[in-house]
Amino acid sequence: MLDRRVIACHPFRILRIKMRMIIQSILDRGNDHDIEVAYVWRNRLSEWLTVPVPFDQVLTDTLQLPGTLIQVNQIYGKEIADALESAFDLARSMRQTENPLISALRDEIEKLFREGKDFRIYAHPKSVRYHSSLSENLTEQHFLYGNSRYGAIEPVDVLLKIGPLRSIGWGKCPDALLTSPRFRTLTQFVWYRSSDEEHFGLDPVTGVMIGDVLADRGGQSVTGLVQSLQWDVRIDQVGYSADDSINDPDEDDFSFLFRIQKEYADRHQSRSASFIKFINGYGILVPSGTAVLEYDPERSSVDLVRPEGNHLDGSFFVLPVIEAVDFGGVHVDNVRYSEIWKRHLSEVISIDHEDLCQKLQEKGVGLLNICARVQEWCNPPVTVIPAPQKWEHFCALISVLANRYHKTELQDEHFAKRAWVEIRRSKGKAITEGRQEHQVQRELEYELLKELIPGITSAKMGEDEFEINVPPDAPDLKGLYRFFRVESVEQGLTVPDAILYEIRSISEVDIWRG
Amino acid sequence: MKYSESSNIWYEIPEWVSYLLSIGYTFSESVIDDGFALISMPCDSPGAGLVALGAMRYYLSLEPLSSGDMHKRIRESDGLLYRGRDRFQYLGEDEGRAVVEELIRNDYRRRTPPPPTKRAALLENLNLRFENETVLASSTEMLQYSELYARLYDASSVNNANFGQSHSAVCLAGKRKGLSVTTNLLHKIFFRYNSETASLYELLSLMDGSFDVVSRVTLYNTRTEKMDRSGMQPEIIVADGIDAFLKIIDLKRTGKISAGKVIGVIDRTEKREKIDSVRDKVSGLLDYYEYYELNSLSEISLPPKGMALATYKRI
Repeated sequence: MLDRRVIACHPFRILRIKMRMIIQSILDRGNDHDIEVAYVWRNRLSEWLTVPVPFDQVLTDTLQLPGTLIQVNQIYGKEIADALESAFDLARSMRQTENPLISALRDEIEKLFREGKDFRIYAHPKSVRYHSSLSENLTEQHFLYGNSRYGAIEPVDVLLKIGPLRSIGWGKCPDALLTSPRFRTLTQFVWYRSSDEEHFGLDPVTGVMIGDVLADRGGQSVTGLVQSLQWDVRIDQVGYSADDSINDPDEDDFSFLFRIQKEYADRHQSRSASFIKFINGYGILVPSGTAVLEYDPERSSVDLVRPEGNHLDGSFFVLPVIEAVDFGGVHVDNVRYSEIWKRHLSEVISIDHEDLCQKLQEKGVGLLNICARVQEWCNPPVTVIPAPQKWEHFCALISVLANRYHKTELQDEHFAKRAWVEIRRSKGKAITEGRQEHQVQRELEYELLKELIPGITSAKMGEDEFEINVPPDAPDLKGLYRFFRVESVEQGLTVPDAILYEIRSISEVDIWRG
Repeated sequence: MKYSESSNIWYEIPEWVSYLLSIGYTFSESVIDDGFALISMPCDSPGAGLVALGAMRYYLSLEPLSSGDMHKRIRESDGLLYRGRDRFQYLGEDEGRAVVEELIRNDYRRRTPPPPTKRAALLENLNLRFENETVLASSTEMLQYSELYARLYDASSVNNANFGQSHSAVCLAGKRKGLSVTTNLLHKIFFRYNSETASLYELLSLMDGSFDVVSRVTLYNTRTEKMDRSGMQPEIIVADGIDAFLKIIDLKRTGKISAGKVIGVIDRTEKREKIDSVRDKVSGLLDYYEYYELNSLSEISLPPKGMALATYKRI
């Protein structure tokens, strides 16, 4: 049974509306610092909706973040300054009262203890301290978080859950709460106007989304199968509902949080990201859909994989820490690959210049006056290495020389990539600049890593974190690879570009959860 | 017929166990040439092993390979056969008996190798196998628990001659986390009938380190992407978990396996991303497959509470 307790608290609701108004305004017009503050507010709002937080100093402390009212008035106008002042007043007045969600939850926990019921509280580990303060009888065993722990528990009488059923953010929980109940009753405490996430409770076999069915949003089976799990639903409201007294098209809190996350991502140079959590308490954010290096100790193999919910758990995430060496001027003495391909190019031009140009055009090298350009590429390095400007064109050139004119020296699969890095360096550009260059470097890192894998000892494989150095004689790349054993991958974060590819503690990433 | 999850407490076979066995049997038996089924379970379970056992039970009810079929298969190969570390060259058939000659490996300790020995015997008395395959036929290494196999599915009888022949029509694809995660669960379930008691692992007759056994279920390691034996391709693959299912479907789509039927047994307590990945995969497959009511055609009962089944066949 789903026993849903809706907690209504008029001042808290108004406070949330004011906060949302201010957040929206800051995101529209704010400077970088204020925008960061808005994200803190957003995070805090999400926390307040999913954790039994006391109405105390934290409320007013949070609202002091944007600065003085005068400053707010100057930057955002009178309406926002009034909203902030009103929010202050509300927060101060609320400090005199107990959070009604806390009292309702405490009463329920005491009742469960009195009745001798076996129960668990589904709560983020960081929120456990708030719950624990509600009853001295609560122990660590009463708390539960994560899919694997939920999947492993014996059935209980009651599962308590604060906040709506969502698959992301502070209050996230497994769809299995609805599709595979391990309890007789799910007692859910939600603030008024906090809806469960759409499409929550998906059974991928039947296509039924139980959350939608319970909320009368449809969610029927795509296969026409009879839903085998039937839920009884009871909804009780606790406290004063202020819905009629507010002449405002009130948006659901979580809809707002979700909307602004999407709406402002581009504008604030944010993007969808996956958070790869390491076992050591750290992790790294990578753009969604981007391939990363994975080392699988069981297969003793390395792959480029997209961290999209599967395959990485238990493997190692590999972070190449590769020096960008020798940028800047040309070092003619160090030019190795260009000498080789230029020599072959000169030979071919001397034999059949036109045929070469024709083959290049057939390969998609659509340059004007291509025959003159090809001649230029034969020139020796002076300040830069004369060569095609685009990776695709250079690749086509090497391919034609290697295959059409049987230049076996160029047939090595890594030759083109290494020669291209040499060209880029000669132009004083970091090889990590730009998409094409980054791709080339990544492939080189991948190829080199594959060669180094046999050197990883079993002792290292037993560790959760280790490094291997790039051998000094390795061509073009210098540095090391850091290996981190992966605990899990979290999807659905929206983060600024600036914090991607940096190792961060898991707690630092909390701000980007909505 | 009794069932146990602890080897001490025995009770009647639960409905969910019977259901999974019957799904394995019925899907193997069905006329679908190319199709897949998905079963969702409320928790991590040995469900895939049970479905594979049901499928294996179906193939135990079929006619075994005839001696002529086996001789034909050997003739079509390079004729090299193995038993333990010994190698034999198949020379031909003599009134149903196989004529083989032992191939003596060069041994530097012997100045004069012994002369090759020639033998003629029925294949089931020779316990021979192809390289990296299990024993073709045996009268001494036959599968035990014939009563248990018979009682697993009452609607058909078992053909006892199958107990002495290896078969690779059924394949169990282990969890991506590692084969041991799958096989550990198989060791924890037991069946008993009269004096016969066996774990699910034993009943599946999985090859356990040696090729010199009779085995009727192939094991696929999803992590290393390897079958436990070479030889004939499976006809039905039962995938344990979402990752294994996605892997097998990809192998099927790209033509790397020829199995016509795939059954995925998945756990609904998996992470949302994984659940979404199954939904997305099935959505993509619906361009080529359509929902197929396995239940109504075979009179299988509806899934027990907490389980769900969907079957699809090629359009």
